[in-house]
Amino acid sequence: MRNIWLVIKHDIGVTLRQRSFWVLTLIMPLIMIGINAYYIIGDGDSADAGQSAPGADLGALPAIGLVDEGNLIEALPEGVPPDLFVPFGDAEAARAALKAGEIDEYVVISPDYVATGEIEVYDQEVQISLDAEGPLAAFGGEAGLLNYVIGYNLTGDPQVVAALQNPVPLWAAETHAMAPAAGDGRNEELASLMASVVPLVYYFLLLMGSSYLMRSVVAEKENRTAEVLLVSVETGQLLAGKIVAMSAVTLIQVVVWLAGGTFVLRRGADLLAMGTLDLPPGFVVWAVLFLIFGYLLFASIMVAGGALANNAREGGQLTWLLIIPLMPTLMFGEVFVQEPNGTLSVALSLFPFSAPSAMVTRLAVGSVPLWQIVLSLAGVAVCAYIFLRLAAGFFRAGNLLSQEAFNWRRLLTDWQGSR
Amino acid sequence: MRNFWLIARNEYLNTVVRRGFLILTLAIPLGMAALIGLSIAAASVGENNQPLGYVDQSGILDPALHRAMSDADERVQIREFDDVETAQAALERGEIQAFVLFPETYPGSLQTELFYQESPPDDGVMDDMNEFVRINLLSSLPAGVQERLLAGPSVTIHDVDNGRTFSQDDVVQIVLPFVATFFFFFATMSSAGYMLSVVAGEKENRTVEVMLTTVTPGQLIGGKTIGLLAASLTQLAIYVVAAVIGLQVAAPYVPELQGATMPWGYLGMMALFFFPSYALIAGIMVAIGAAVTEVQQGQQIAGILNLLFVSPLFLLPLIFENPGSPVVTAFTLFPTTAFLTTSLRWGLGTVPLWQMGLSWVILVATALAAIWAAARIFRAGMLRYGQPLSLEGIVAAVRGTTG
Repeated sequence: MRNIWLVIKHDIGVTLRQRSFWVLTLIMPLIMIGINAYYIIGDGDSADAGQSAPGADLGALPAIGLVDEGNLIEALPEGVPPDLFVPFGDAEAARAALKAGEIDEYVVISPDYVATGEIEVYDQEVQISLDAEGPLAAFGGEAGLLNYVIGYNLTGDPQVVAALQNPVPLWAAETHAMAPAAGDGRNEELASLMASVVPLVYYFLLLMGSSYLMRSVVAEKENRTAEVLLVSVETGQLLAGKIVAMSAVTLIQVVVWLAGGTFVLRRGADLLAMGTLDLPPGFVVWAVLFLIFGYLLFASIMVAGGALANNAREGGQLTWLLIIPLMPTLMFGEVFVQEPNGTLSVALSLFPFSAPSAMVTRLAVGSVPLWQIVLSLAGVAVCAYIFLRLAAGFFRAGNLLSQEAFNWRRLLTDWQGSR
Repeated sequence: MRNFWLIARNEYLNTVVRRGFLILTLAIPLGMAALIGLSIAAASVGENNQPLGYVDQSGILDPALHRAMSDADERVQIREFDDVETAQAALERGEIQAFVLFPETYPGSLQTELFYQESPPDDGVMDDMNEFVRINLLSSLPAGVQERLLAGPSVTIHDVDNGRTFSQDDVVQIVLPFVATFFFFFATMSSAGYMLSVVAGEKENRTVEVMLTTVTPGQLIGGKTIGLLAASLTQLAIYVVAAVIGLQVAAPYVPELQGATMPWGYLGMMALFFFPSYALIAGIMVAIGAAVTEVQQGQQIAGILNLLFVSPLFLLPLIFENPGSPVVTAFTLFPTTAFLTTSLRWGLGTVPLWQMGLSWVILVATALAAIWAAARIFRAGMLRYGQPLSLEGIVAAVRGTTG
């Protein structure tokens, strides 16, 4: 026990003395939360702005040159300023006006527009924004406006044309949930924020913690400290000490992030009028359990890899393999908000390598059936046990003192030998 | 020069002629393809294809026109109900997933009512309802006009200054820069990581002492940089070949890919920014590797500095929404973020020439300064064992004073 305690003290001290550890612990989460909160609040503002009907707020648009080769546009719908479109006889005249700075852009409607639908927009320093709804609006608000004006002239009915843009707009619909899911009164913005933040937090905790462990093992191999250590400490003691040490380091990160995150969420929610997010009962308990078993799973893989790798470069390649199962939760966080019980959400929260991140994200944004939580946790725990046994098999003197390059044949041989 | 090329060749072969290099090179695109396939499969398996209902108090909807929808058999079935109570009963029995109430004032007012069980229908289902309503709204018009209003226009935007065009139908021109950015980024950062490991590793195991008896520090670092650059270009060449093959295979099945052309302008711009960016990263990694005593220390410092290079990826939503915003412009001009930001912006419009020019000049100047400083730090730190170079030592080395 004394040796294990010595290893624990040493590894904790080395890690906590690293500047990069404190940068990641203190600064990175603030950056991530700040960026995500900015987007989510910004999305809310732009969504509100996007609820205006077509043709709204057109007074601010600069004049648009119009070359109507098919003479489609005979009248402008109500709300469109009469001087918005400046007619030109042909494209050359419009181009000259553009070059002279009389107009900012011009559009050319082809003579056979009904058959081909071709509209050419000529502009300077084109910027496409993917913020607006639909590709047409993205290709400049003018293209969407022109579509509206053309539609008005083809149908002759402004109500039909307005309805064509979005016949059943959900922002205008009165919704009735006959059997609302628990937590359905949640604040969507906060739920989106949690769906972005929780996967990031788990990504850092699981990957950083286990990476420190792997780097520690590889470094001691590379600089041959392992040779000296193994004179006094058994491999099992070394393994246990390292895992416990990195667990403690991860726990420090968790405490800092939980305390800071709770403070930021509550204060930020007040400041930004985002309401409060009520986490389901037992959330913290489940989150900690998934973190513990998830960490043991990732740590055991990293330790095994570190024992087999010959240098930091080889060991680092393992990191990529572990990033891949964590990526879906990072990339599809919004899916957990929109469809918390959808196939993708359920599959990711049951697959052991993505479950720690995915299941906790689901718990943060909605309710999850108890059997799924238990099954997921059991899966992670069983996998953690299996890989810990494997890691114990690989973490032996033969590998720790070996300078042989990593290869899959040796991995297979060691795996068979450890069973 | 002979030593220089010997080192470059050795570094290139050590990096490329490894099974791990090919596996890692291919693992990234295969992994991404698997992730995309996973999300598509999950989305299609998770689709709710139960019928959607409606109650039409406005009298404009004809249920028979559901057959007029394109690919009607593949769309969600849309059922009419006489009143809200009947529709609600069907909803409670699970015969439909939701229903929409169109009031008498529709389409004068677009305010409808949506009834569902737990959650509203997803976007794909509502698209089917929207399409059905559009067909009804246009049913009195000539067939050609109906088709045009349903399909919408085909918009092409021309930039009169540089001749670039942006078309709704040319998906490749818009999507390619985002995909390519990721692969350029991966190739660059993995090479930079190798550079750090090589420099710090050879210092740690004292190989550098032997090497510096035969080659100059400039030949050593220059050769390694060129060798790893060649390895990086090899990775990119593999990605390009894979992409071309993929496009050739997929084009017959995906109409949007059939008109795809080689984006020479984009490739030229990327080449212009890639080499100075690589030099900048390499210079930083050499400086770090020479200043530390262990590879692990170097990786920790490099991990923090890498944030300076990857930060545009955190700004993706902002770049999508407002590529000309002041923040994005600042990232375009800042040397460590210029490469990624310019690449990401390319697919979304024209990057003003003055921004590209100024960005490139700043990037090249910074890269040259980084290489110059790295050479000085390398000379000061390479034979210094047991103690890393302090910040004061680094500054002194760069200034050329003793530290």
